[in-house]
Amino acid sequence: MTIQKIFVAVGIYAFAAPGLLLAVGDDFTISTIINGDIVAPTTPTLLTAVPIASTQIDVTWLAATDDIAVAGYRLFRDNVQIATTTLLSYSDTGLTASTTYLYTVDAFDTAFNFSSTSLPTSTTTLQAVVPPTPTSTPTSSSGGGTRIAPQLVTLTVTPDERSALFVWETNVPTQYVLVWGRTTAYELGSVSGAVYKQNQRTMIDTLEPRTIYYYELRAINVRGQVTVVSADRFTTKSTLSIDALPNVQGFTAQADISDVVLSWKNTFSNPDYYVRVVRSHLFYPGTIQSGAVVYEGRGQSFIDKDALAIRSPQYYTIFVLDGTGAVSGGSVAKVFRGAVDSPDTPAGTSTLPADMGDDSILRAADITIVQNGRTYQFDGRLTLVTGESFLISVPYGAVARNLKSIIVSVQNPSNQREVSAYLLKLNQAGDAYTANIPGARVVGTAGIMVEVFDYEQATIRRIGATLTFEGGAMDAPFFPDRAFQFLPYVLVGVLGSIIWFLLLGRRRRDRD
Amino acid sequence: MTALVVSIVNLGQAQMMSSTNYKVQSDSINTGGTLSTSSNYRLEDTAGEVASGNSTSTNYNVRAGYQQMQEVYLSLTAAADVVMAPNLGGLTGGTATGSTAFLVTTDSPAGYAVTIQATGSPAMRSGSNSIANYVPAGGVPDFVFTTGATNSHFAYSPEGIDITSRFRDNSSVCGVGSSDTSERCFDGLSTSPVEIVRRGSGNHPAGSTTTVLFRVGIGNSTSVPALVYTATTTITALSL
Repeated sequence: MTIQKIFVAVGIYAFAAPGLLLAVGDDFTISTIINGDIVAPTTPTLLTAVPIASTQIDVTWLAATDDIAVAGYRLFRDNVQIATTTLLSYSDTGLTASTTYLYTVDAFDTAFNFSSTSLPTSTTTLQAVVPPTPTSTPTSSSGGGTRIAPQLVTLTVTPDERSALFVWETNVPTQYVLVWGRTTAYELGSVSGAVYKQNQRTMIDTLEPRTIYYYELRAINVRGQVTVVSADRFTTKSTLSIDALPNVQGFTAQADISDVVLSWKNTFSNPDYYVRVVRSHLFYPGTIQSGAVVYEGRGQSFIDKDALAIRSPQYYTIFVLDGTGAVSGGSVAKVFRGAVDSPDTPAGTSTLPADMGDDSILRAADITIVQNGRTYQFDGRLTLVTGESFLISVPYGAVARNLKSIIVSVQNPSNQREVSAYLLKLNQAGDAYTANIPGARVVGTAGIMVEVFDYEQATIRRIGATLTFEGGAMDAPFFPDRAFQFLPYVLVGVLGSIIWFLLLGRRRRDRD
Repeated sequence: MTALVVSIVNLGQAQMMSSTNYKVQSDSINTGGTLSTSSNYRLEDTAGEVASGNSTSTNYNVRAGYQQMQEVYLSLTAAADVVMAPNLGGLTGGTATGSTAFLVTTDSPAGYAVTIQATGSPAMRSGSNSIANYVPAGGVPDFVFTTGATNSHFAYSPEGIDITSRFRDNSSVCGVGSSDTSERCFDGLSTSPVEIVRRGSGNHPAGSTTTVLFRVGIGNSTSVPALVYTATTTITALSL
C-alpha cells in the first residue's frame, strides 16, 4: 500500500485507485511581530547643582518622558558616571572642598535606550571648616555653610515589633547620628547618615517586642556643629495574642442597704469554666486567694448578704477559672454603703511587686491594644471590631514597680453609664501587665480609662481614650437600656392621649 | 458500444465480480467486452465506451467510464498564511492571535483524518531567536492558554465539526466531553504529525471546515527581541 502526496497551492485534490491510501497536504506560515522599544526618552533638564557642604553637592533635574516608560537616570560628574537612580535628585558626597565640579544627566527607558546628555551645570563645593565643639545653641560662622544650629522641625517615631522607623525634618541640611539602648546610656547601637539633608529617615531593627528603648538623635550641620535635636523613648509593638481566659462582662456591685447585689455576664461557653467572686475591704483582690470567696459557680448574679454591714466600701474581683488552674485577669467593682461615694481609701495589699522601683510614669504611647492580631496604640481614638475581645497591655517597665494596681474601665457603648473594670495583671512572661477585655456587643462609641493606683489607693495616673466599635458580630439593634430611657416619655404620651380623649368625650356629652 | 458509469447511479445490466483480493463493485454498460477468468482473477473488460472522463457540478462529481467510480476522492483547500494580531511589545508582552481554515472533502466511506506538524522546533523562529512551543500542564491540551510573566509561548487550537476528542472539552477540561468551546484547548506544535481531525464517513460533496487558531503569549516580565517570528506548518489530509 502506498501513500500518494500531492502538494498544490490551491484546490488540492486527488484521486486514488482502489486500495490506495490517499493523502494531500498543504504548507502555510504563521507570523507574529514583536515590536521593540526603539525610541529613547527625552533629554532631562539639569535643574540645580547646589553646594551643601565642603564635601557635598546636591543635584536636581527635571523628569524626562518616554513613549513607554522612563526607567531611570544616569548622573555624571566631570563626564564620569557617578550614580544611577530613579529619583530626580542626588546628593553627591565625598567631594573636595573649594573644588568645581561639572554635572550632566541623561535618561534611559526599559529597553535601555539612552537619551542625549543634558546641558552641563558646574558648581564649587564650600570651603573646608574646622568643626566646633558640640553645642545645642545656635552659632554663627563666617565661612561657607549655614550659620544656624540644627533644630528639629518634625519627628515621627513609628515602632514595630522588632524595629522602629524614624522620619524627621531639620531646619537646615544636616547629617545625623542616632543612638539607642534600653537605658539612656544608649548602649545598643548607633546609625549615621552622611548626606546633608533636611528630610531624613532611618530604621533601626533587631529590637525586642514590647520593650522600651531610649534614643538620642544628633544632627550635624555643614560646619560640623553637633546638636542633640531629640532624646526620648519609644515602646516596640507587642506580639501578644489573646490567649488568656476571657473575663466576664459588665460586672457591677450595687448596695441594697447592707447587702451587695452582684451581677455580670459570662462570656464563656466552655462547660468547664466557672467564676469566683472574691471580696476585700482593703482593695481589689488581685488573686483568687486575696480575699473572701463569696461566690463560685456558673451563675451571673449573686447577693452578698450583709457585706456592707461592717465595712464600706467593699472591693470585689470576679475571676474566670477553667478548672485546670488557669485564671482570668479579673474584673473589678467597688460598692459603698448607701449611695454616697466614700472618700476613704483603705491601705492594703499590692497586686504588683512591692519593692520600690523606678519612677517611670505611664504614658499613652506605652499602652497597646491587640485585637485579632492587630496592634493599636492607645492614642486617643481607636476603632475595634464589635463582639471581639481585645487585650490591653502595659509594658512592665512603663510603670513604677512600687505602684499598687492598674485598672482599665470600659464603658458600654449602648449605655455609657454602665462601666466594666478590669485588673491588669503581670503576664506569664513577666514583661507586661495585661487584661483580656470582652468586646462590646453593640456598635457605638465608648470611653476607656487606664488608671494606676499607688499604695495610698490614690490615682496617680489616668489615661483615657475613645473606643469605636464597628462591624463584627453584634446584638440586635434594640437595647433595653435605651428603651427604658424613653419609657417615661412613652408613658407620658400615652397618658396624655387618654386624658385628651376623655376630655374630648366629656365636652361632646356636655354639648349634647 | 457505449458505457456510462455515474457514481451515484447504480445502473443495471451488470455483473458483480470478485476474487480473493479484489472486488469489482460495479459493471458498465457498453457495447463490447468479455468476462475473462484465470486461477487468480476474474476480469470483465469493456470496449467501445463513450463519454468517459470527469465532469463536475455544484452537487456532484461524475467520473464517467469503466471503474472511474471506484476511485476515492480527497480534497483539501489550502490554508491561508496567518499574520497574528496585534503586534506585541517585546518588553510589555501581551497575547497575539490568528487563525486559518481549511476544507476537506472526501467520498471515502471510511472518512478522513488531518494531521498538523511544524517544520522546526521551536516552531516559531526568527533566525536564532525563537518563541517556545506551548507545553500543556497535563497530558491533554490546556483548556485555557496560560503564559507566565517570565515566559513566552506559541500554541494552536483546532476548531471544527470533525476535531478529535483530544481537542474537545466539557467546558472546563480538554480531552473529555464533546464540546468545542471557542478558543479553548491549546497545545504546542511538534515536528511529528499530530492528528487534529478525524471523521469516520465521507462528507462529499459539502466537506468539513476546520479552523486552526494560533496564539502567541509573551509575559510582561520577559524580554523577547523585537523581530518578525515565523512558523511553517504542514497540514495533511488522509483518506481512511
